Amino acid sequence: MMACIAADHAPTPASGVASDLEALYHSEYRSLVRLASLLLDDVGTCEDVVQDAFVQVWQRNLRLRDPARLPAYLRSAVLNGARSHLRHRLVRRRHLQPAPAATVAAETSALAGDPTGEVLRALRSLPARQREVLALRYYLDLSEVDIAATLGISTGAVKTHAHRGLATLAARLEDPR
Amino acid sequence: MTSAEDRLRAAITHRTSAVEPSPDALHEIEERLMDAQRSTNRNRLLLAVAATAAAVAIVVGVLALTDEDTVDTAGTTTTEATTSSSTSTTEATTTTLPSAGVDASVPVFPDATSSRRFDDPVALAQAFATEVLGFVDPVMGELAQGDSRSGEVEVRGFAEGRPTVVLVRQLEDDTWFVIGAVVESIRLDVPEQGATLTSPQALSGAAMAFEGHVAVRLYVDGDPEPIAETFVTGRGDGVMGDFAGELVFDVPDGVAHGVLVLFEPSAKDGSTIAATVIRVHF
Repeated sequence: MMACIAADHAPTPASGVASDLEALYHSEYRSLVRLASLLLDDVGTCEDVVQDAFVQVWQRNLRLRDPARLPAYLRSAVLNGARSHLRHRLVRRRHLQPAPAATVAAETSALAGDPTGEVLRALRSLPARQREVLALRYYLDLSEVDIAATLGISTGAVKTHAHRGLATLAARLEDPR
Repeated sequence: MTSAEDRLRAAITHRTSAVEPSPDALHEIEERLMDAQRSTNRNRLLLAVAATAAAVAIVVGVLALTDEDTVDTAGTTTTEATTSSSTSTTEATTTTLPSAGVDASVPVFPDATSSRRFDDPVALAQAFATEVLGFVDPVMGELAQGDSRSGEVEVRGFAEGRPTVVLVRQLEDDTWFVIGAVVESIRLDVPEQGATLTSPQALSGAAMAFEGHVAVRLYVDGDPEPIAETFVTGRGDGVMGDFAGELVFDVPDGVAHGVLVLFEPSAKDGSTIAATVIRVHF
């Protein structure tokens, strides 16, 4: 299983010559969309968030500062974008407009037929930092140092979020009520 | 027995392996970059035109003041027109524009009937956080664009604080306004955004704050002081707890719109560290 996961985002020569958008796209795009898919329901939205991240990073000329860190910049931008999207949706549902029942039902039922849907639902119900730490750790296999750098938090906070996230996940999977 | 960790790994593999990006995504990114570049170029051009116009206006003004003959002729008209359309401001990011064109019932801040305007959404969110909400030296995030005319700016009371998401939008005159704010730890169910309030107004929702304490203030447009204050109590032990309360108020004659603010004051110094804000009507 680990080999299968790692193959998605194995370091490629492209990350060393990241001034090339196309090379960066080919090395990172797919794994970033898949990372976003752990946090968001709709793949179209995931792609939108990842494409925005590419544009942000390119526009800010981050490629000139430290090309080797481009994948980390992109990961941060994708996580920020996903978080922002979720918050915006939360606001729309709870704050600005009455909840569109049909939309909510469609989104929650999207995972219903999925044998692993229960786990993903539990993952997505965690606080933002916890679900991001778990996604980075169990999908991208990042080290605590790299997760800390991506999220802009300390390695101690990464350990705490991972521990609490897994504990909550275990409790919810044991008793899904 | 399979551990939660194993189940999580299996679920992640299952989910991610089923996701295949669209084949034309690179083209889409290139298009977006070109659009962004075109927008940047357009803004630079507009800035250059505006700077040139301002320089011309200054020269004309100086000539008008130093040349009596010019003042008596066309110079007067030119100078007056320039003065009225380029009123100076004290904030670099603020522009003073005619208030016409913006629906005053929509924005929370700034008051649409005033002449105060913001070109920079982050500066807008900062002014809103400090002037209206009571944050002191807030930690500002960047604009997270929603669509081409709206977005969100995160505001924190301190670096590791919970983010209050300030919703911003460009309205009819192309300047930025705050249309609401929300923090996950203060959820207001009643009243809803855009509700018409009547006194006594019921308040309900859920909150998580220090000792569960959430302060409530009601403002009306054009008055920086709240017309009513109360508080509600959620939970203080790290989980959301339901609250219910009531707000009694008396609206001044002729006022149609206001802002309801629920906020968590810092236990340390009383400054605001989280807030949920909605637009209300009377």
